[in-house]
Amino acid sequence: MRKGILTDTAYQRFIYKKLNQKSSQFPYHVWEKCVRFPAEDNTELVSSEIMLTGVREDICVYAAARALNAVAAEGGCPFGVRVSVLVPETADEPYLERMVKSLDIVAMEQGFEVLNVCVNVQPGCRENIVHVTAYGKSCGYGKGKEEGKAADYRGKDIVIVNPIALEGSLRILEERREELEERFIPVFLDRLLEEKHRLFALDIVKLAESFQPAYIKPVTDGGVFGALWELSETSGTGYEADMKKFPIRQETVEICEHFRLNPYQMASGGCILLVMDNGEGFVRLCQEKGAEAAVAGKMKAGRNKIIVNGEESRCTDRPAEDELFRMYKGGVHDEHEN
Amino acid sequence: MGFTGKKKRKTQRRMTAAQKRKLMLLTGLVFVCALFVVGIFYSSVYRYVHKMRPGQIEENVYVQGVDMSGLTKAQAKKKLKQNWEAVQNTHLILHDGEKEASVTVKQMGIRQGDVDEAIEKAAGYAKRGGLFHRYRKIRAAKKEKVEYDVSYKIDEEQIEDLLEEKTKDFYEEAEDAGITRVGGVFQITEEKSGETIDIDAVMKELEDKLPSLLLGEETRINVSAKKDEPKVTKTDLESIEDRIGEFATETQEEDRSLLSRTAELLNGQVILTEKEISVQKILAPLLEMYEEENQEEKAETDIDCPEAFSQAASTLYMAVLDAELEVTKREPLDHEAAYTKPAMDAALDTQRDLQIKNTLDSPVYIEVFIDQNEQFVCRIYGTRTREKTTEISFESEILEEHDPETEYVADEEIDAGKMKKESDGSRMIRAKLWKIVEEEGKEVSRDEINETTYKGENQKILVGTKSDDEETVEKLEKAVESQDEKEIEETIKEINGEE
Repeated sequence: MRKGILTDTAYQRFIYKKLNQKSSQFPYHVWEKCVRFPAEDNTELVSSEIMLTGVREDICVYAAARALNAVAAEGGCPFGVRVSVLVPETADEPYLERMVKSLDIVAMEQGFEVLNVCVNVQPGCRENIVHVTAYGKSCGYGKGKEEGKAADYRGKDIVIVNPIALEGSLRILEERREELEERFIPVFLDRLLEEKHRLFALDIVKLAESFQPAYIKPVTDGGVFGALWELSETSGTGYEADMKKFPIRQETVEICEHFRLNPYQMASGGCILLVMDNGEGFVRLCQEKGAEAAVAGKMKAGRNKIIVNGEESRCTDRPAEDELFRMYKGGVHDEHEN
Repeated sequence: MGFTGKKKRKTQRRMTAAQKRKLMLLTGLVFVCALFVVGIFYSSVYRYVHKMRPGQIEENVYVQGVDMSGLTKAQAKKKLKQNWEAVQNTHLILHDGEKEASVTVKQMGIRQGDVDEAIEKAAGYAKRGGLFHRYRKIRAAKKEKVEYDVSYKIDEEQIEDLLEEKTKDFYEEAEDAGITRVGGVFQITEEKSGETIDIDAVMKELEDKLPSLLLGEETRINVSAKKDEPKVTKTDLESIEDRIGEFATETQEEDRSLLSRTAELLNGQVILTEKEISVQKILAPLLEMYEEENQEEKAETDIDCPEAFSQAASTLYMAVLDAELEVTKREPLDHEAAYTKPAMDAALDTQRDLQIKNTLDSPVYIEVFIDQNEQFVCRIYGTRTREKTTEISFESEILEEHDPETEYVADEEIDAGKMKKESDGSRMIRAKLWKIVEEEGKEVSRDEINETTYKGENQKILVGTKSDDEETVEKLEKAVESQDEKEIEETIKEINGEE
């Protein structure tokens, strides 16, 4: 099987269709990670689950960011996270302390609570396996699956806010800093670390509310190409997107170039993909708030998923294995461009 | 009355003998006194002039600001040397506002000129000419010190480089636009204008203040900035869009690691219009590392430079030809290579280089990597100028070839009756590389790119002659001498007791 998240086909064939006792809200697509439960006062409880693996102690932060962004994009006002971690036997108490501290700092910065942290030391486990569930209460705005399906996407702008591959390049930087410092000056690399707060895109989602986007989705595994594919599958509409317009940090470009990784297929936590009418207006607003944003293309009639690169245009490939997995193999050249 | 007057005058004119004696005595006395006075004066002047011994430098004589009074030449030289050592640590402070940097005279590489000449002049001061001439010079020196300067040798280029390096944090220099290809997309970073030290102004001020600096006085120079414009702009790089050349070669497991490192260095190189690159220079860090690592072994075993360097250069050579750039320097391999066809190669080591010039109207970008099929790939990107219906291909034509001959060599280390292949040898080949241009499938031109000759190498087989039996050794040596395969094989059979 493909590394990382299951393919949509495998998910539907072996999970969705094989499960008889599933809820009416059971997600049809593998990338739908949120569920809604009725709560008091005609509100709903929105919940999202994320699983991540990583060697560094701050892997919980990356998982929490993804889960919280997903809740926000689903129309929830996130209030807390539950964290479960399987740690290797090599992890000691100071390691756990650092893990909790890193989570505590972002919880304070982003204004959510840590509802619990469950840690198990797992023999044979070589890296942390983190499971984060984020919770939020529906807060007026919420796209809802039904609304998303019914919306007419054609002709709307595709907007991307926050840099693509930020999550992937940050994780690579933190894990392989020594190697990268042989090529890049620390000041250059630190500039990327300063952008770590952009992993949390709660403010962006809130900002988008007044623009009534037809679609809003955090870009995660498989990168922006994966997210565009998911958009097309969810909406049943094609698109034409210009690769040169995707916001990307120069540090990400250099790190990806060093390891010969494709940033367009790399974990992009913090990056939000939206479809809306007044894309330019929203982009301007985001830029005024200091966020990188761009209208990257338009939704088109039909099912063609067109990616434009200069004078060339081609169809988007099916979502591939996330480039982070390739990095652990030393990086390979991506041939899809041909 | 008149008579009396005459007599009186006569009496007055005539001097008595006694008076004459007196006069003479007086005159003599005066002369002696004068002589005495002159003697004393001369003696005083003499003593004054000769206060310093002949080898000593007169008082108040300085060389390069250092008092040389009373010193011998050797002492003067020693004192000047000590002084120079102190001067070398004198600081030149460069400042602009609150930013400061300091350099020492030593760091600036300023060297003293001819010290001996200055000492010679100082030692010769007031030592030649008449007594009074010397006296006057010594008196003059006492009134105003006499100075001799030592000339200095200054490498302006070195000083300029040093000053630029020391003040690099003072200003933000211009940044060239950059280009990187990731995920199949060129990402271009914009150029930035900046500031840099106005080195001409600093050098002018340094020229004025150098004398005081060389006297060991800490000297401050106010540096100012001038505008620094980037050399490469985003507009220059935006024309890099099309793949205009490509070539790939198969890699072997043992070469892959080194090829991967050469790819890292070559990948991302940009050649601006009319600029030239040296592949040897780009790969210098690896070549140097290889040289250092193998220095000792190389001396003992004479290992060749790894083939991976030449494979990288050969692949790039063909990609460059495909992109129609100019190859300004290329040397062929010694032997035919397994990864490419004859004449499609370029040797690269510490002696042999591949140089490429961009003769196109726009810059080019070089992409180098090992792909998923383990091929070493070189791609050149730029602006496509040829029509899509025009195709370029290359053909390696073998004009002459000879299989390697077998050379038998007696080896005392191998047991008699045994043979060992030392090397496979290589073919002698003479080949031509043709560039073929086709338009709409029809050949329109065929140009010779190079003619390459590989000398070839004999296959070497070692024939063991290690034996206590002199007759056996003699037989084997004789057979080897004949270089006849059949005779050698028969001799070996005979020795081994085979029919």
